[in-house]
This record gives sequence, C-alpha cells and structure tokens, in this order.
Amino acid sequence: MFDKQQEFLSQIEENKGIIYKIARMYMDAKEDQDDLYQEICIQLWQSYSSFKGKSKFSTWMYRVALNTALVFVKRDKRRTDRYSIEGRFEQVDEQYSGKEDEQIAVLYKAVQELNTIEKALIFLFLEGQSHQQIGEHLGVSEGNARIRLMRTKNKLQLIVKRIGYEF
Amino acid sequence: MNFEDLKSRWAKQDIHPVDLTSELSITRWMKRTNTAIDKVRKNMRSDFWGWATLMLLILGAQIIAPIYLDIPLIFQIILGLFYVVYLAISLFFVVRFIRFYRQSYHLEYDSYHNLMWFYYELRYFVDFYHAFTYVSFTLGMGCGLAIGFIAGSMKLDRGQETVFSQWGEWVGGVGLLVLAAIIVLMWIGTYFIVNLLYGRYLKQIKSTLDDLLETGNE
Repeated sequence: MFDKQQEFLSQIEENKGIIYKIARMYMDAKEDQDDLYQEICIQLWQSYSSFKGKSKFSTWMYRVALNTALVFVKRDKRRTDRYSIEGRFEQVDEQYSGKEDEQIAVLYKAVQELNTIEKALIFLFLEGQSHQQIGEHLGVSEGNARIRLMRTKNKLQLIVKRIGYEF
Repeated sequence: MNFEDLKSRWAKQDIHPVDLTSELSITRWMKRTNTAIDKVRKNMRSDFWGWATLMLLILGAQIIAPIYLDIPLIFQIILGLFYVVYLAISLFFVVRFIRFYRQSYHLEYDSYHNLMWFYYELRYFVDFYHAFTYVSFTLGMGCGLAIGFIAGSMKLDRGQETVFSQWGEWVGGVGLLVLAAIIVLMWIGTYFIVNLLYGRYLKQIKSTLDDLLETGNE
C-alpha cells in the first residue's frame, strides 16, 4: 500500500503541470483552483487501480483529470459568483502579475468565458494532442473534434479581442 | 492570434502546483471530495442510513408498543403486514441503490461515456426514487385507512355503538381528507427534497452532456 502510494505520488510529481493547467483553466479564483487541483489528485488516486499501464500515465491522467473538472462542484458558490466577467478582466491578478507571460495570463482569463467542453478542447489542443486524440479523450469523432476546436479557437479570438488584446 | 506560438508558450509556462504532500495525506484528501458524483454518493449514503434507522425504529415500536399499550391484535396484524410488504419493496429498491452506488465511478472512460453513463443511471435512480416514495405513501395511506375503518367500526366500551354510528360517517370522511392532505404535502415535500439532493446534480451533468453532444455539423 505504501509503495503504491509512493509510486502514485511520484507519478503526480512528474505530471503536476497537467493538473495545474487544468485547475487554472477551469477555475478562475485561486481558492477554487487549489480545490480542483486537490480534487483531481483525489480522483486520480481513487481511479489509480484502473491504470493498467497499457497507455502512458499522462494519457490516462488527461482523461481522469478532465472528467473530474467536468463534474467538479465549487465549494462556496457565493464566493466566486461575486466576480462578473467584466470585473475579472479589470482585476489585477496579484498572484501572477509580473511573473507570467502576458499571453498566457490573458488566455487563462479569456477561457473563463468558454463552456466546460470548449475548455477541454483548447486545453488538449495546447497540450499538443491531435484531433484524433482529442476525439478519443472526449468520446467524439475526429471530425467533430476538429470542427468544434476550430469554432472554439474563433470564439476565443473574439473574446481576446473584446478584452483589448491582440496576439 | 497565433495558436502555434501560444502552444509553445503554453508548454514553457511557470507552474505553481499545490504542495499536497506537506499539507495533506492521501487519506485526508479522500474526505474532501467535491464532484457532482461524490455529492450524489454522499446523499445516497445519508438516505440509506436514514431509511435503515427508520425501519429499525418502526420495527422496535411494533415490538415494544404492545407490551406497554393495550393495542388490539387486529391493529398489530395490520401494522405487521404493512411493515413486511414495505420492507420487501424497500429491499428491492436498496439492491438497485447499492448497485448504482458501487458502480458510479468511471472517470477513466472517455468524457462522453463517463457523463452519459452517470447521467442515465442517475436519472433512472431519481425516477425510481420517486416511484418508491409514491409506493411508500400509498402503502402508508392504505395502512391508515385500514386502521381508521376498523377503529371506526369497533364497538365503544360504554355501549354497543361504533364511532361511525355515534358521531356519523362524516368522521370517516374528515379523517380521509386529513390523510389525503398529509399525503399530498408529503408528495410535494418529497419532490423538493429529491430535487435538492439529486436533481441539481442531474441538471449539471445534463448541461455538460448537452455541450458535449452539440453537433459539429460534419
């Protein structure tokens, strides 16, 4: 049990970037991101017995992590509902300002206007997954994934322009 | 917007992960689950223990009450009979309940199959829950009517008259109306409780599923 736990923790350590990026994409407030990060780790651990090693750990992890994000329930709804969409863009994100690539910071803000599936599409695309792999993760056809991704990219571009950025 | 450039920036971004090892052990994480699936499972557990406690309390009352109270044998038989029927129906429900509870995690599936499976199982469970509640209330009403009718027809101690013949049969009508009002209120209450415990998560899953199933116009 202890060995399995250690093995799991080392796998998590190697792939923590995936969890971090999903948590940040799906949740706007820092507290919610941390909650989702922990939630993904819990669900990965609970599903760990289903990982048979037939695929890469990261491939299996994409599925469990994204499925967790899709059914995640924010702990305190009132806390996050206080922020309007416009307000979010006006806020200076204290934690990340000055330290992070501006384009990435803007991207994280813009994706908050996408729905949960669109977020998954953009995330998998940015992770370098092919249309076929995106389709496999989401359970849709390759063609459907391609079209949906194209639409989501267009939508994202419009959001980014609307908030005054161009890149 | 150059998405290829964005992709390469994405790969190089700084990450600030939560340090789970110093804050929490895996055992402690387990207590903090917060997905729609976990919320449903938690409510199912509460429901199960509530049902089990109620059944034990009713059984205990049926055994203990006749020792201290002068309850006519016919009432004890009616109550016992309804209890056995209700227990049999409940067990049928509980078996399905446990089956759904134990199989509710399929996070390793692709998103479509995971959401679809959970959505239809939960919807079936909610429908079944409603049906079970209505059957329970109907049985309760049947039990109440049987006892009320027999009680109303029994001869009173001080004479040879029955409640119905002394006070008129309208007493039975009023009793029936009160019972019907209680049943209707309980039905409405159940609808809201089921919606609160399960309905909102069903809506959340349905909304995500709808987003996923939105056609790509291939």
